[in-house]
Amino acid sequence: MSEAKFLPGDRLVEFLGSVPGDRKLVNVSSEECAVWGELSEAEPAEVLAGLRGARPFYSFKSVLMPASELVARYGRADGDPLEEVSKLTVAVIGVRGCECRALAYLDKVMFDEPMADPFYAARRENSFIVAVDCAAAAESCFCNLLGEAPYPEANYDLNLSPVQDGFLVQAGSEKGEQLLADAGSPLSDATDAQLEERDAMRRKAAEQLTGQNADYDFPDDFAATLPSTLEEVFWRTELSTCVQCGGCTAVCPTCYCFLLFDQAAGEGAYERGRVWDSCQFTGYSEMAAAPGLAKPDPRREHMSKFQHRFAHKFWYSPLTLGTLGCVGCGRCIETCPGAVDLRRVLSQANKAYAQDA
Amino acid sequence: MPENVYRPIRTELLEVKPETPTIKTFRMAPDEPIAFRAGQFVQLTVPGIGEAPFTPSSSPSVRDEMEITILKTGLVTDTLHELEAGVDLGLRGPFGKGYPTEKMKGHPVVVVGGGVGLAPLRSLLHHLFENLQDYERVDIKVGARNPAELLYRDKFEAWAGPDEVSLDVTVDIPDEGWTGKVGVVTTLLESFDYDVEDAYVVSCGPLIMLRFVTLTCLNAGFKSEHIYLSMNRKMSCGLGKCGRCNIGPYYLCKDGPDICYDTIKDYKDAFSL
Repeated sequence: MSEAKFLPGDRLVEFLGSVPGDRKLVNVSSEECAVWGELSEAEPAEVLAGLRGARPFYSFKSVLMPASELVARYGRADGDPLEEVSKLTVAVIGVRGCECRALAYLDKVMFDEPMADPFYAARRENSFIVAVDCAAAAESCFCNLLGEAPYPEANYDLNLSPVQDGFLVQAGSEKGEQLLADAGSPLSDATDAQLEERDAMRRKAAEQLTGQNADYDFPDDFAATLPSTLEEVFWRTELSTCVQCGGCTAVCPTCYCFLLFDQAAGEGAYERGRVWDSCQFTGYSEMAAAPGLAKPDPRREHMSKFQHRFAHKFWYSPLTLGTLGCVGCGRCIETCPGAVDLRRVLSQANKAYAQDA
Repeated sequence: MPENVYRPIRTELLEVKPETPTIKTFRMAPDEPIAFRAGQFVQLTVPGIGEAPFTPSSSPSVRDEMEITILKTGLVTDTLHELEAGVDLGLRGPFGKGYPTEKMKGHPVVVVGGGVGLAPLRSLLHHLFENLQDYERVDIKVGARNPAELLYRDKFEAWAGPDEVSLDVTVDIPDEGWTGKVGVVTTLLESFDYDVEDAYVVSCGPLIMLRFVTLTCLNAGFKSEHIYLSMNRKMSCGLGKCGRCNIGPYYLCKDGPDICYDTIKDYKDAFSL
């Protein structure tokens, strides 16, 4: 990691304008929470406030995996959507520590054997990641319960740390180093006082997280806890308010499921698209059947859908990828109309496991 | 730019052969040959309608053409059954691991197919017949709902020919002309005239059948790590990205579609219907 530089707040937007990207998306503050906006259209004051506050409501996931996109043309249809995607570069500014970990997770899935997803790969290679420390946590944030810190530790090109009158900037990649070396005038070496200020800010955010999550107790080993508690009554209580809206998976920075579909695009011309899908939806795992026969579905029961989200993230992902499929951003909690709180569910699993032991 | 794995390879439909009232075999030629191992699968595109996963029924050693035997049972397959030779289809693949043909070398192999489940197993039978010297023996067990739905009846005589191969056929519901065995396919797996401890079972059919094939084979003395099942799951991408075909931490599209019973037996939803 490079030496930290100081960037004055009034030069921030200008500096961000110099990072590579045909599009530049940034955290912009709004009334209740930060949102993603185009840097070129955002008010500098809103950008400054956005990067000094808690994480945005949505993650940056849709930049790498749009909710809906074309993946192929065939028949008489010309052109390959992959070619178009391969040409676009994007800078994502305001990626939080949790999202840097989500990025590492998505990279593992999308670059995994037997072959990489070519659209994800193209967008990932054409992306420039500007991360930022969380000076504050959202109410539902819980990265501390997973043993993680509220600031980025890897998987970024540059990282910003809010300090008095500006930001400390640090490179996390060669691309980032180069950019800092070329940036020149607005940057100065960070002082010891500024570094201490950054560390104090990080400690304060960590303390906020510890405080707001004091009532929850996560298992040390999810792979032991989850499978043995699947029949416990608390699951049924939690399930009772789930309406299968799929909000949890839509806002989750690590949920990546999609469904391919084909459609006609003129005489003899066809295109293939894909849309986000959710393991919570009816039909997600439903197979074909002859007319009049029930369609086989291994996860037909609502409970098996509900538990699958937890099982995939906390039980299967550590087995297949060596890492949890949850980064503690708390977005699923914030968005759920049924007030299902992942922290409460896992704490109850832990409690039930401890009682049975 | 990397290859776009989501784009189907244009494939000409060469011949449609009716097999049973509900099953047809489609012979096709992709513009670029698709080399597959027995048991690997492809995604077959009906242009503008969609894709569905199938394991070819033809020999893996034939590269320029492919046969897929398909039951009429949904949007894509209903459309396929209406098609005639000469139209364009699409293919992507191959995907998955294929049958454990290396592990099975030197062992007896019991191949159990129910209904259209015999279709993917035919690629395995091609491989086994082309390499019979590598396997101790091959026992083919075939079941169907009724005699009219018995797949590949015209192949039975040839399959039963070699000394190292046996063929046993049963139907659930006989008709007037049926003189063979009556009963579900598991009745063919209750006893063997040799020690099955070293034998492998490879089975494909409806999930309910796979469940009972497994139970019957375990009772008959097969090892759970020698039972391979062609598990049924909805698939979309074929490369382990779209999420839906898992059994526990295993994705059938890349870890299967045939997977060892011992691997999946502890996962709650493995045999749920």
